Amino acid sequence: MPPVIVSNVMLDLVEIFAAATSWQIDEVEQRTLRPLADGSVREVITAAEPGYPVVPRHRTFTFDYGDLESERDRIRLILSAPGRHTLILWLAEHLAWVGDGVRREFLLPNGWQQASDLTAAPTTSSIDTRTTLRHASPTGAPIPATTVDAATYAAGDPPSGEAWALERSSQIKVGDVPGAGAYLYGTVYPVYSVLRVPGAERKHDGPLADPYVLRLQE
Amino acid sequence: MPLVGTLQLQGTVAATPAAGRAAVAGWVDGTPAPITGTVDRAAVDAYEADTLCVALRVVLGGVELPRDDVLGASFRSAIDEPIREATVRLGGIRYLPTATTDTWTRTPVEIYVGHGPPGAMTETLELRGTVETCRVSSEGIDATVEILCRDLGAIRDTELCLEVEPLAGLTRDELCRQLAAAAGYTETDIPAADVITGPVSVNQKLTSMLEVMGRAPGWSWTTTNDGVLRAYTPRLKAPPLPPDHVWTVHQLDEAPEQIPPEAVPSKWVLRGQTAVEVDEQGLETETTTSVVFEQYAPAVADAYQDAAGAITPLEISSRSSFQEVSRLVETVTRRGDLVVYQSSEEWGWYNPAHSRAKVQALGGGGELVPVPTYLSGGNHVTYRRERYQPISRRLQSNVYDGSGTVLSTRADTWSWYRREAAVQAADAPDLATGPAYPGAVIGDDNTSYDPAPNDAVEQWGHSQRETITYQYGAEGALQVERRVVEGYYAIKGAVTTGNHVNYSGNGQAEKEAQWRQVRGETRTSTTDTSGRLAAEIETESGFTASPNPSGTHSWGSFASDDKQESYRTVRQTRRLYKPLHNASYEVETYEAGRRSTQTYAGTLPVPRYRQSPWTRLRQVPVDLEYASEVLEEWFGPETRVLQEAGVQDAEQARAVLQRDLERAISYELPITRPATYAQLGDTVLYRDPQRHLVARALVTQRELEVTLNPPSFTGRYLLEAPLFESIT
Repeated sequence: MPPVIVSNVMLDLVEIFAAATSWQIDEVEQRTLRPLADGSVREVITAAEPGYPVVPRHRTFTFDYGDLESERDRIRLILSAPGRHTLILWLAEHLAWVGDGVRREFLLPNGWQQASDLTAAPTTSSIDTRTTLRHASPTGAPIPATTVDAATYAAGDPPSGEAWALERSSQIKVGDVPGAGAYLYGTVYPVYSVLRVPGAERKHDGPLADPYVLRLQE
Repeated sequence: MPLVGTLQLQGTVAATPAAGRAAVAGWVDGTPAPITGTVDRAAVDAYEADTLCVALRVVLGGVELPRDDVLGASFRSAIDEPIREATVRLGGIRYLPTATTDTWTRTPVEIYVGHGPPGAMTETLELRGTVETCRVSSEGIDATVEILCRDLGAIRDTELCLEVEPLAGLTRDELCRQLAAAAGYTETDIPAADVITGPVSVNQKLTSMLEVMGRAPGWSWTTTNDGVLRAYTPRLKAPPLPPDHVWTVHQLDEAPEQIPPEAVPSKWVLRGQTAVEVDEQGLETETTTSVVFEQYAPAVADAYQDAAGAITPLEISSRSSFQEVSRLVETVTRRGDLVVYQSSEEWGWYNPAHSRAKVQALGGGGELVPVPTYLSGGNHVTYRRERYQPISRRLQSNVYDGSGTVLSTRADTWSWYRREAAVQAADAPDLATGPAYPGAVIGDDNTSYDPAPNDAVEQWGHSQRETITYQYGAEGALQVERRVVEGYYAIKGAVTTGNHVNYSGNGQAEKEAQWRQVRGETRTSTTDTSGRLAAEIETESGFTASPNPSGTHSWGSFASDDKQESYRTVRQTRRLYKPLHNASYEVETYEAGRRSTQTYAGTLPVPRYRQSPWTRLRQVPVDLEYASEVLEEWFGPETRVLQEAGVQDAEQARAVLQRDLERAISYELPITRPATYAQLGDTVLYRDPQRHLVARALVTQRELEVTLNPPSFTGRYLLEAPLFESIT
């Protein structure tokens, strides 16, 4: 079952019940393809900071609401304040880290936290929304990252075959250190940290409908 | 016998995608010795992996800049340019010139490029140098600051001033090391090279000087990031040596432009110069004789004086004939260009003067008795007729130090000379009473002399010696010049007890003239900071007596307290040289208590300086010409003249010409491609068969560009593929 829980979008931890007619996530990668004279390509990636996923990406979220209905006030009030907002889509993100044979601690990109740390997953979902890691291969055995508190996290390393995620943080620690050049794959349900893309567009389709395009950028 | 040693192999291994294995062969003691091992492809993959991560790290003024501030960087170097440059793009208003001095003053900077496949990135220090300046472009309220960095930094402008004596045995590499040391490079990596013969006078910037000296051996210059000045020889590797890299057109961003050779001169002339020491071993003597013939009749005596003093006229018999009347023999002995001995001898018709009378002992005193001799024109002479004989002979010998500076000069003169001698004691009432000095002879000038053989007045012999010694200061300028004249001189004295009297009536302190120092001159000079004359003191010494009107001793024409002459300072002159302005100077002279000034046009005079060995050198031009009919047909007639101060012989000239021509008739291939590990001076086998080009080419320029957003790691290389293998 696809983990699409559109109706459970949470903005600043407030659930928005309005149903979008369409939504879109654009990813901007710091990655280019270099076309060569024979038509082949090579890949160049801006190196991520140590511990972060190999390919740095930033996302733009666009939600097109035909009518905000009862959520009109709630959404507009949240967005009337500036600054970063949190956004939870209960949508899986897929990441890959690369090991160097020493590092066992990795980081979620762009200041993400695990959504399940901040709020309960929607009851309509039957999936496990915790972070799941896989060593070396995307088809490797999944290792659910157990959420631990700061004291436990700092006190030691997870046992072999296990992983810890620090509560309300971006930090993840694995029991088995990935070898140099080996990838660590992860499935994460993140809390995005976003800013509203500026631009005030108000359009009223009739006296009742309040269409709204919500555009947020990581 | 087993041989144990440690070998360090330097070089790059061509990337072979099939396996990370390569073979390296070396020769130990002349015997081929295979060396096998595995080669890590990591160095290649760090540039050429299919997925490449790139990063930049900039340390500015010892502080590592925040990662997000660094937007990109590019690095430029070329084999013709010893300076490597880099440009770093930084984002943020804190890098604006008004906010910090670090981005536009000579701040130390280190730029590292991280690159490699994910998980296997390596970091290369591309440039360690100093900031040169910056350029600002603003986007909204934010700013992008481009800082320009150079590896040579502050010392690249150093103006050098160095002089090297010719034939000092200095090798080219050692000279370059000295130049580098003068500019502050203590560590160098320069291969051994030939000995520089010619003089080197450096008054230019380090980079241009290194370029001049590197032409003959074909050196290019660079500095490593550790500050080591390095000379390397970029040469195209010819088969069977493998090329350093093989590039096919498919690896590039696009097929490169092919720039054909253009306007290559058809005639090349190279001018170098070398020095040859003129100072051969051994001496060389050159004799020049000048003889004058004339219609001449030697003078003959017209009368004879006998022992009784009676004068009898003689029959004059002299025949005029066309004959030798004078002969000048100049002999110069040289060692190289230095004159060691120089003698001149003059011959002519001469009849030496003879005495007319002499003092003969008579009791306790003496008497004057006539001397039998000839008279010619009223003068007493030795011979009846003139004889053709030496009149004077002068021999000068010079003493030099090792560098050819003259230290002293001695000139001896032989001539017909006279020695004054007294006839009686000063307190003798008269000659007859005595004490008288028998033997003294009287000349026609009424002066008494020491008798020459046969009672002549004049005799042939060593009559004068003049010695000049030179003393030089630390700066090489002449400080003291001392001139001493020796000869026969009778010290004069008052006509008083203890002294003697000449027949002329003058007093003498000694009976007869002795060989002694007669006169001396000392000139002491000082120079100003620019090496020109500042002051001179001239002191002249000789024999003199001080007149004193109330003196106790009578000297005939004056009175004095001195009984006899003494050797002392006779005269002293002091001169001060003062520059007035650029075009004139003033000389202030103090002599005998008087001061006088005189203004001269020109700059202050320069004193004599220590001989520079350069003047002993002959500059020998090294000329080489090369003309090509093919090139003339292709590009039209054109001549290029190369002035190469660092080229010393024909072999070097040929090598320089070969390299220049080779590069002039090269295809240029500007290539843009993913960055590789190719370095300047590497040989690339470039394969583009579709466009009719499979050639070995030299990497002459390299530019590396790194941007982070969007990421790219691009190399731009200029390849030069020569058309011909060789010009000769």
